[in-house]
Amino acid sequence: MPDVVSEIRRPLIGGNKSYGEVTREVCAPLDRKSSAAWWTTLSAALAMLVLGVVAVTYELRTGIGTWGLNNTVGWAFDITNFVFWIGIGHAGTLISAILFLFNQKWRTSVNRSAEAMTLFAVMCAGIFPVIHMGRPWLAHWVIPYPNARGPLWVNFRSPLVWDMFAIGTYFIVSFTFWYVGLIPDLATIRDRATSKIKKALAGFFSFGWDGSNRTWQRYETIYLLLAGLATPLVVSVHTIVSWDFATSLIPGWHTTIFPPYFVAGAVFSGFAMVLTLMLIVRRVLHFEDYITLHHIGAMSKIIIATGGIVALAYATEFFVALYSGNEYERFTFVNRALGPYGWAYWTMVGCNIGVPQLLWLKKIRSNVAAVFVISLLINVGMWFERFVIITISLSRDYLPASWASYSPTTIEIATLIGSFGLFFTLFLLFSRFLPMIAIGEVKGILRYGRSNGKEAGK
Amino acid sequence: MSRRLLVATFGDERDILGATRRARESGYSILDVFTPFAVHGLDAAAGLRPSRLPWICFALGLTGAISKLWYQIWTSATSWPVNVGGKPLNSVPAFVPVTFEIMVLFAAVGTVLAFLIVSRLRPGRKPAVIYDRTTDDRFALVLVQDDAGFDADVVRTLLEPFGLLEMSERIEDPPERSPRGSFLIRPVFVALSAAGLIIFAVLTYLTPRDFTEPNLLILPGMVNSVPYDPFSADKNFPDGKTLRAPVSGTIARGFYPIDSSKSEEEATTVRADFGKLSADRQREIDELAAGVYSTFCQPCHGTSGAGDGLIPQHGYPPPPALTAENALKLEDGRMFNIITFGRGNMPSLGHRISREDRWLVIRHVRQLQHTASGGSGP
Amino acid sequence: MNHDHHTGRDSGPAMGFNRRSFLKAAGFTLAGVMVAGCERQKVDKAIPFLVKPEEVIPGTSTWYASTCGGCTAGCGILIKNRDGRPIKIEGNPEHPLSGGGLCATGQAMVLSLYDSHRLQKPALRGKPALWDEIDRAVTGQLEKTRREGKTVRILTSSAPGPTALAAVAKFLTAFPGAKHIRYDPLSASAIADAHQQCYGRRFIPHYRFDRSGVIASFDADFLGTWLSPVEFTRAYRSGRPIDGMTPSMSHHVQIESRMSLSGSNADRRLVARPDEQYRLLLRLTALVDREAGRTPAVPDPGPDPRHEDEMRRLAALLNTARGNSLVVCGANHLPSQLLTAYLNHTLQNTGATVDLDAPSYCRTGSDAAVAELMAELDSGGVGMLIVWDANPAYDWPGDGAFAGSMKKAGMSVICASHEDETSHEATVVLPKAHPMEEWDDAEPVSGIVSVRQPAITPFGDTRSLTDCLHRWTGDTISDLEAIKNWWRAAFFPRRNTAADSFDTFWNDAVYRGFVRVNPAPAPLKPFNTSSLGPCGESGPRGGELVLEFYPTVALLDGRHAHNPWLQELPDPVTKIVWDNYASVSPATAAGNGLHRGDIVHVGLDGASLELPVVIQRGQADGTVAVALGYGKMGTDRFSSVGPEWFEGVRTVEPGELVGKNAGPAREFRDGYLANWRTVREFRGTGSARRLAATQEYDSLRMPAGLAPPDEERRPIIQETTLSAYLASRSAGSFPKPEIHTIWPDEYRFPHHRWAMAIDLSACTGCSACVVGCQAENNIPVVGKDEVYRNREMAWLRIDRYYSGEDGDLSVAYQPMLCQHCEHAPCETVCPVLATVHSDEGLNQQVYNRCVGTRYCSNNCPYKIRRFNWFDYSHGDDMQRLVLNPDVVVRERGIMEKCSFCVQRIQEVKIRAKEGRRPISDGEVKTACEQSCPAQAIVFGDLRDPESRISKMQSGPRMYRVLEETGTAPSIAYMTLVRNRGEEGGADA
Repeated sequence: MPDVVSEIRRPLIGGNKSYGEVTREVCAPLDRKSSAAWWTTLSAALAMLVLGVVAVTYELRTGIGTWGLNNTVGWAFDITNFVFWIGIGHAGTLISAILFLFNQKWRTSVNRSAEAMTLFAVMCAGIFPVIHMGRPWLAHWVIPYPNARGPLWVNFRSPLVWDMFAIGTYFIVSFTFWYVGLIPDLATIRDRATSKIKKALAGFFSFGWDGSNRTWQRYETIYLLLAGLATPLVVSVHTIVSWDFATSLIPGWHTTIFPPYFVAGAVFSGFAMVLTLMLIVRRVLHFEDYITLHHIGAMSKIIIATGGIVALAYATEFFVALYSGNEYERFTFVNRALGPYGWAYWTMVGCNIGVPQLLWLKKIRSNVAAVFVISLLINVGMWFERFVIITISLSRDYLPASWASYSPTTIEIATLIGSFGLFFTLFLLFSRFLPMIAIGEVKGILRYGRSNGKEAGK
Repeated sequence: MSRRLLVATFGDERDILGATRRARESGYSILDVFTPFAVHGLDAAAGLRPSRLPWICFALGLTGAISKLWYQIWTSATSWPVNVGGKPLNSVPAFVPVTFEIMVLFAAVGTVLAFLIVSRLRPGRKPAVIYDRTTDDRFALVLVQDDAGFDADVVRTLLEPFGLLEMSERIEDPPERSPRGSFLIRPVFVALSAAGLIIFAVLTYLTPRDFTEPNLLILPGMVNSVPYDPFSADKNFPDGKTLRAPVSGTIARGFYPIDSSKSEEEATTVRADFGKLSADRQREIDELAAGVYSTFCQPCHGTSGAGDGLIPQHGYPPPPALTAENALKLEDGRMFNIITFGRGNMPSLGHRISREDRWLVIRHVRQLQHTASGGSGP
Repeated sequence: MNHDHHTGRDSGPAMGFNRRSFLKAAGFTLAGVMVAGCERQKVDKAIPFLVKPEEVIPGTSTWYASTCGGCTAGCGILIKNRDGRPIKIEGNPEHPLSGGGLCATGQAMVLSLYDSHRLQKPALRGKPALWDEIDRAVTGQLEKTRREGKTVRILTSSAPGPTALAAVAKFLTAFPGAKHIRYDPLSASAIADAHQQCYGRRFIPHYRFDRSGVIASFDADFLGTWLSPVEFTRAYRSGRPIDGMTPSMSHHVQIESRMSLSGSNADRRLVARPDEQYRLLLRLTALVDREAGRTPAVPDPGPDPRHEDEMRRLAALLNTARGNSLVVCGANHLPSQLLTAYLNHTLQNTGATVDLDAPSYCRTGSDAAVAELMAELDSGGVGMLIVWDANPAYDWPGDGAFAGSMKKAGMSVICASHEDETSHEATVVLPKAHPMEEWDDAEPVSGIVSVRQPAITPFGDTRSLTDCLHRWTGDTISDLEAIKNWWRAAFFPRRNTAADSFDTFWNDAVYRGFVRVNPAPAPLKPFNTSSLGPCGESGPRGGELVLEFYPTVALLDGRHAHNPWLQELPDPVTKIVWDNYASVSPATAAGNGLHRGDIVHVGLDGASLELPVVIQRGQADGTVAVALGYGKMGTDRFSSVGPEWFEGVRTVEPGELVGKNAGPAREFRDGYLANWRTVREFRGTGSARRLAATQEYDSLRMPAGLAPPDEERRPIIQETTLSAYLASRSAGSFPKPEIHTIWPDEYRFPHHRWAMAIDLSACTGCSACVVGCQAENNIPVVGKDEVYRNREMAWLRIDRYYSGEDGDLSVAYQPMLCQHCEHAPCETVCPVLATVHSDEGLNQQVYNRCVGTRYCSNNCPYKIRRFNWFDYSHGDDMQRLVLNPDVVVRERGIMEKCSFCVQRIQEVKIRAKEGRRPISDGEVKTACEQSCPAQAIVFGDLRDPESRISKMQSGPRMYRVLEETGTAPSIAYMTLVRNRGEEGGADA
């Protein structure tokens, strides 16, 4: 068919594809035999995972003492990792829900993998609150279930209980969202599958989807509803996580700007992670036509925006501390920048405020390699942000006599590596066995930007 | 009953939209349209009413929120009220976050379930594929012939302008769910799971167990005491007991060696102390005294002190009545020594009744004597 | 029995060894851990008494009055017995000397009782032997000695009580020329000799700090380790009644070189090297004489530029406070002590603050006599040497000097509790019973005789000194009988009670733990200035660097080195555990380019020490201070104390001892064990050692460069001076913060509202409460590495803050424990309601509900919560006998903290309920309150308006730490008032 490219609306998908091509290309990785590269990366990821499992088991058997914590610094790596991973998760929901509500069509090429990333990140995050407990085998006590102890319930005033509910809900809803989006594509796979097993499996999990118009109509409705629900949810989740600190009275934790600050930070880090992954996927699975420079540019802009908010938050924290006239508060922040852990603070500032500014330049934005490096640095910076907030604040609080320093043990480092191992393992499996791009949705916007389509796209 | 269906397939979303609209305008009844993706406006074109799922969503969310809020208030303020950091039992502001989360959870999951139910989607359902490329790159419009004036050629000419790829007539039952239903209710599956259960049950029954063994504790935590229990065995001491007898000659606080000659002086002081007490304290003391008496003395001496306790009733030589003449003459100190060291058939109770209680018993005995002698006792 | 003492990984049945080994077998899976955690419920046999003794009621405690054997001060104690075994020691409130207080060492004695490393059986020439063989060998040797005309020598500490001394005397009569030598490693021999010269009798006077308005102490750490610290602390405290009708305080000036406990509490502290102090003393004497218009009785060395003003001030004060001032001196140096005696005499303190008629017997040793003994030994004239409760081979100057001489004795009989340096070289080694295992008596101060009754039958096959000596002179008599006989003869006639029969006299004594008798008449010759002869113009001079020796509050002369509680008790000043070290002033350190932890080589004439450096503010430049009592044989047992994991570091390497023994490096100079000597060589060795301290940051001042302007100092401790306080009761108080909250305060406390008040002016930082708490609440010993990682488990810690310049450094101690906040931040954040508030105002920790998120601890502004990072061991089966059955032993992974001794509260409540009576004020005493010699801690019920606590909490000095955070703590602190001696300050 003729295809004139309009000036106002540039097509989101390159290469002037037909529906059939989309199906074929997206499903290609599933049909191919897994490459040597995939095997090597997977085994690397698995190695990391095993390391983590070993570390965690040793900790469970021996005691939390195998971590570098002490009477003064009760949380460090454990909760830092937790908040870090939760933050990563947020980009997925944001892309699938908020961008959907804002009718950002370019999201369709990345939302599937972004959502998958969310799930995996939340899994990684979920591990830490459990293993950081002194008696993890009693973790279920955090759930208010009828019991023979009174019944003794939980403390609904505790942010940790809020966390449990928030993370739980977040995981379930994200999963539902992701799976609902997957159903039509599974049907596609089913109908083009050659091997019996594949057909059977896809058939089973595609719930007998047949592309009926009625179903599509309802599907659209609930998709909208889910997006509408997920949007406040994703905001609430990191808000609640930030309350773990904001509702306490440790100087440096007890800060009212934490909710927006944390949410922005989460989106910031999340998009950085999406970029990191997408840039690899795009390269390895030849999705250049689907994940175009346009996408990269768009995400870079979001990063600049959220990065700006984060920078503002850093500044506000200092100002408020200064303005509050509370000496403990003031000291905490001076100590952050100039105290024994200053290096961590400046790493954070450098990676989160300095580096992203490069993205203002179109040259950089359109340079895939550069964007990749920047996205990595941002992830580092965001990890340190949580470390700075949690550890430095604790290490020097009210009574000088109880000040103490903290340094991680090998077990803690191994545990962190392990969580990355889990994340990559899951992502690699996903990239191998499920369509990385929402076929149905991409087809929907295939006509976008092609002028002669009077009903093109919408 | 079987009916005639017309399946017209197209290759582009614009065509299917046009074709559907045209077919409907010209009064053909559309059974359904099958598309590889959500074609916007097609529902309108096919004349479908908007879905009612949003209402379900709203209702579920509301239910979740209300029930969770109630649950939190009930657990924290009613079921198990406890002072936590001086916060009120019903700290509603603190209950908001969880309420919100549960609202979202109910709404989201509930809506999706509702969607699956109304659109008859479920794991393992056999899809009614009318045309095998509708999930790839083809759009199928299915018309049903419901009246005589239904001519395939007319329809063809009607749809030609929309790039009709092909059109086929079929005589068959309308697409319906497969008779076999979900694999979850297939006999084979049911049989297998039943068999599994039975095998498990049998195995559990057959595994050898020793019921004389104490229970198994999983991660007992602090169930067992690390400090020694009073009666537990103890290999630190030659006699293997934890309980140690005091070294002879030592005097513990509150256990000043009893000197029979001294008892009388002590008695007077004790009496004096009792005397000092207020009336209702006296009454309390009397209750205590009665209690001690009934525990240690009543079995032999009987309720009234007449020596008609249960034990004598069963043949043990009865003790002399406490209300007898010589008992009335007995000084408190003497009585104290008798309780302590015993006399005749009466065993020594020194190690069983604390010293205070011994004085209480004497007090009670005096009262018994008092009542026995018609209130004109000593 | 598992002899891996106090390190037996199996702390009880709950964590049996099988599970451990199974754990190893279990794979690397959580499931593995869970499965490994399974165990069968244990089946217990109940073994009751056949005939129950009246005293023992299973599950309840009985109390025995006795006398502490921790040192020779002879404090009165009450032993808490449970099921017939001691589980805690507390001070005896009726005791005239200690009056209810008890020091850290005293409290820790109960742990030593269950030390499985104690000697159990006698040994002859290194082989275990029966007592008969021992007796035969000894009596044989004694016969031989008599035949050969050689001499018999008995060497003991000052510990033997009147009866033992009588037995010794009787024994000596049997052998011509036999002698009894007494030796105190922490010697006060110069004091005694000085009084010998001045008053014609060798004794140490009984110092009465409670009667002293002005106290001048020359290096005498009387609040820490000098003579009778508990008694002195209590007296010192009662001499400073700030809350009395007219607030008054004694004025305490401390002249010292290192930062001692007394120095850190002094109102004024002059820093002077030990070899300068004699000159200062001379100067003071001269000034005092001049003030009094006399010509100085001693040569005047002239003013010392640095301290002249203070000396004049002090002289003036002393003169105005005639008859109620007190001069004490810790130097074991005759001229110094002569001057001290003279000063007290000329200031008319004798008979008032210095009691000569009823002297103290707590240090009767003579250094010269020991030196003489060694000479005799070397000459080979000693046929029999009996050493009882002394370890000269460990602490007498010269490495192995005494051991060498001892070998020359015909036979050496050593009685020791553990295998030690002396017993190592002995022919016969006798096991020494623990003071709580045998009958004994003591007379710490003339006229105050106390009984020591056993609280349990001996674990080992032991005999008392009395018993041995009796048997070796051919008569057998039980200790109890021996003591009774001696008392009937010696004390009953001197009784000042109405006791008509000896039995009553005796029973009363045993029941109360002590008895007062009229002091033995002691004719003194009038003081004579001529005896000041030896006080030359110039005292001994040290080189540019001098080494000073001092005992620590915990280990004293090392007799407690086997006690892990004391090894892990933070030094009150440096807060360091499990080590001794060379403490130097910042200037000295800088001068030698040394940093904390650097190992230095301290070269001396004929001796040397290698120790890690600690930089101590407030110490005299040019001095090195090192603690005695470390490096004791057998302390390598602690190599495996604390948790074992792959990054863990051992407390000491196997074979390595805890700390270094500084005893042999001491110098025997002019007839005395000098407490300082010249350092010939002082250099860093390049290597370093990590020191574990419970406090990393020293001061309330924020680190330079981090402190926001005008907020350099944190308002944690309220302090003021007496004169300011007299001017205004609110002196030094912080402004009361106003608290805003969204929450209504809906909790009333229907029955009780428990609360505590801690008087910072009274607290001396002696750390008795820390050990008291440890004993009461089954707090585990965690080892050096864990302390190094800031994971000490002590529920009660004492924060120590410095302020002021090094010249005039002032120290503040602040006991810090759970504040039981009414609006506790920890409670709000616990997800599982494991820490909640009781309706009596207690902040409760529910151990078996805790899942260990540590959120509570993070949210605690006082950081007093303690987490079980590992399964901390409670020692071997024997050690576990000390555990308090009323307090659960916490397992790994849960949070714990101060409970306000809830078990003691409950006990009192039950007792009150039994008696159908209300609880009286002061009836509930927490372990810390009970143990405090200075009565700095008061616990009580705020609902009773008449209670002491109610009054104190409404007093003018009351403030709450971090009140502005809105935690509403239940613990109130009282402003620290110092009598700096400004006008009107020093009330004399």
